[in-house]
Amino acid sequence: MLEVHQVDVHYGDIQALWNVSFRVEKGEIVSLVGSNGAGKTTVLKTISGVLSLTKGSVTIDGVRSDTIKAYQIVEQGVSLVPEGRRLFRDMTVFENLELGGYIGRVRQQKDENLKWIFQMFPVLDQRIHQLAGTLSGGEQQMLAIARGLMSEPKLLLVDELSLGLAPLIVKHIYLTLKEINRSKKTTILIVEQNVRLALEISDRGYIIENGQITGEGKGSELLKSDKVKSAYLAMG
Amino acid sequence: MLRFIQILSYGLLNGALYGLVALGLSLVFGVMNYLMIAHGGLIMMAAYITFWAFFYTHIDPFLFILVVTPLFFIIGWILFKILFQSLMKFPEGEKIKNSLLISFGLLLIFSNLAILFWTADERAVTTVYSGKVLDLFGVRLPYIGLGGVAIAIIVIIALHLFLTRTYFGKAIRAVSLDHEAATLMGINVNKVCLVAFSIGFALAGIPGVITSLHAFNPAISFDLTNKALIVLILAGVGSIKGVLIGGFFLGAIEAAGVYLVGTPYREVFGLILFVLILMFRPQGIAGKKA
Amino acid sequence: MKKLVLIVGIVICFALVPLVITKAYVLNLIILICLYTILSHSWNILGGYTGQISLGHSTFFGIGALIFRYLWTLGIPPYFALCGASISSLVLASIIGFPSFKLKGHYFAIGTLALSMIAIVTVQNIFPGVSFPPPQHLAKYNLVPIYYMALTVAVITIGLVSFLNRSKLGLAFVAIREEEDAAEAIGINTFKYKVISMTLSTLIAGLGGGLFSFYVASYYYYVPFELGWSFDPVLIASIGGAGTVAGPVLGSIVFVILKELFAISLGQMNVLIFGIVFIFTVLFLPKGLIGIIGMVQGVRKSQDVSAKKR
Repeated sequence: MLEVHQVDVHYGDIQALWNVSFRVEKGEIVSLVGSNGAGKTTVLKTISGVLSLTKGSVTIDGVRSDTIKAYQIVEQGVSLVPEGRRLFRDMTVFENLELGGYIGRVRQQKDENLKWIFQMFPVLDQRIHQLAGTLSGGEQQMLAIARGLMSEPKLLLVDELSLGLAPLIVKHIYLTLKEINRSKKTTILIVEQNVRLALEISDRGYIIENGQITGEGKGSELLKSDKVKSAYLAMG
Repeated sequence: MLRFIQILSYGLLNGALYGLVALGLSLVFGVMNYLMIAHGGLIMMAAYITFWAFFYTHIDPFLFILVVTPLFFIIGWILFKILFQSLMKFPEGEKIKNSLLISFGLLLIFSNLAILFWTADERAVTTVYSGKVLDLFGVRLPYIGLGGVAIAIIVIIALHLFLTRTYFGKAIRAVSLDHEAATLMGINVNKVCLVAFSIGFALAGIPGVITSLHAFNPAISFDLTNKALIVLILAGVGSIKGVLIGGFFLGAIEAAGVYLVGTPYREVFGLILFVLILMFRPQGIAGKKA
Repeated sequence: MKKLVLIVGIVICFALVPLVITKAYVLNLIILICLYTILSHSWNILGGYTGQISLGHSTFFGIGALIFRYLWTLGIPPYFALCGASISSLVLASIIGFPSFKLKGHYFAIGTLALSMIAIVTVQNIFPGVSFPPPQHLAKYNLVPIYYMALTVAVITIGLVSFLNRSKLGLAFVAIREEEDAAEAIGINTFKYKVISMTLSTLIAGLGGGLFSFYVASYYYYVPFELGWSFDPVLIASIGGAGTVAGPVLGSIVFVILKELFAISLGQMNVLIFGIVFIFTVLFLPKGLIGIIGMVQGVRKSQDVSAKKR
């Protein structure tokens, strides 16, 4: 459902992505893994429309998304959970979630959506009227994901969710994502530095290095591949 | 003692007006980092429009607010599209500087248009209730001042409800916190800024009408902008509730200044307070730490 | 080397002007251009190079004028009074200017604006009247010595900024402008350099104020404290190109000439039209005239001292 085709992206004069191509099928969980600065966040920002590409195309369910504005892409069913969460810190958990459900299409279902989100992330219900900035790291990440889900996206993009979080919490969140993928059939594209965690729950994965795709395969296969093992898993 | 309370009362009545004056400036700066120092000029223009409307039609200024508010909203809409929209793409420092320069240009234009059309003479709208006061235990409270307080309270409550109970209002708050995150929620940030800017203009119209009931001339555009800036900092950027409190606070400080040193230095007291707050508590009374 | 010869040549030409041209109009024009160049460069050092947008330079300009007038009236020769004026600006800066660096970003801009407002209101209250020059000078008012003072100070100013432009000091300033936290991280004591920047900036503003006082015979005491003196340099430096040496000079020339044209042809409307031009330049000349010249030459002439982004 997502097709990224030969995409180049520049920051001013500096090229960040070279001929990046990959696809994500409906209902899959796909990971894009690579080390710091490889271009992962740039990819997600381009898909969500925050950045413009200089060459190539991004297509979602057959419709070109690189030609429309970022806020309109949310309407199309793509939701980005950004790096660093970018919560509205001075607003409550509830208000953040409400804003996640800002687009017209989902406003009617607000209460319904809140209900199932609280099932997935009960701690958010407990802290519903707390200011987002006062939550713990893990809770903030959960809120960011929950907020992203409020727009009932077909495609959820998650950028570096493990940053700054304890491994157990990260594992819990990934398992929750897997559950969301299973129950709501939400397609998920994950970008991660923590290669193992990401690949463990993914159907397929791509490796990105220095702005180029250098490998792809099934999640489990990639985990076992020598390349990934030596480069990212500090084995062999 | 009575004299002190009297002066303080005048100060507080002024304070409500100051809060109202600062509201538009604070909103626009909070949402999009535009420093609209032309705000005082807008208020002055609104005062003149009200004056001439009264002169020809004898319509009561307080009622005229209902005309001025949408009128200024539209003017703001147009000016944003023509002048200010192109500044959106600049980084924060540039935005502030450029919006400031353009506003200053507007301020010059407004002041001079006013002088050109209507001369620098003082005007004031005089209605049946203009001189009348409410005598409360020996303290004289002018009806106009009380009217100003009432309007200020109504406007602030209305604005507060808008910003917290409506989707668009919440979108405005989101944009003032984080443009990029707001975009990711599907919010059209440009449109939000356009509306917020226009509301800012409308919020200049209202105190302008009230100002027309006191003596005014083109020079007040600068004075009012000063007041607005002071209250903006006192209140803390981005805090709506703080604006009214900040206004009252400024009014009270000025009253103290008048009581202690006499009227000519009234301004200086407020300005010194301003600088002290900037130094030691730049986030203002109600704002959050930067 | 060739450039230096050219510059010295130009300076000498300007120095010879009063001997050849006696029309007061031309001398006045050049004096004004010098005045605005001085003031704009003073802002430029702090705002253009170091990125600290000050909206309160009228304060330092005004103090310069005030102290110059005072010293001059006491009988001190003009050039010494000028030095005194300059130093007084610095003194004022050390009291209120340096502490204002506590304020970051837009708070600094607003804070300096507040300072200038305090200054003008205070002066209006303490010195409500008109400031007259020493009586003997009023009698034999002569543009020529004023012209030479203007030229001298302008040359010193431009020379200082040129030096800054290619010095390590200037580099430190630009580093602070571009990315203050990064500069701090690589070991630049940002506060110290901001202080140096403001020192140079206010010293020059004080010189400008002194020049103003020497030039304008009588004026209300508050006039050099008017906020226009805060905004004009920002505009001029922005039109010409902030953070460059030639920018403020070019900007001053354009500014003075445009003001003259409008004043002549439009009389009362000139401030109005000026406001429009103000707006126009901000919207359409973000890099200033220097930027346009650079583009026209096909050379990517961004800032003189490293850094790309404005």
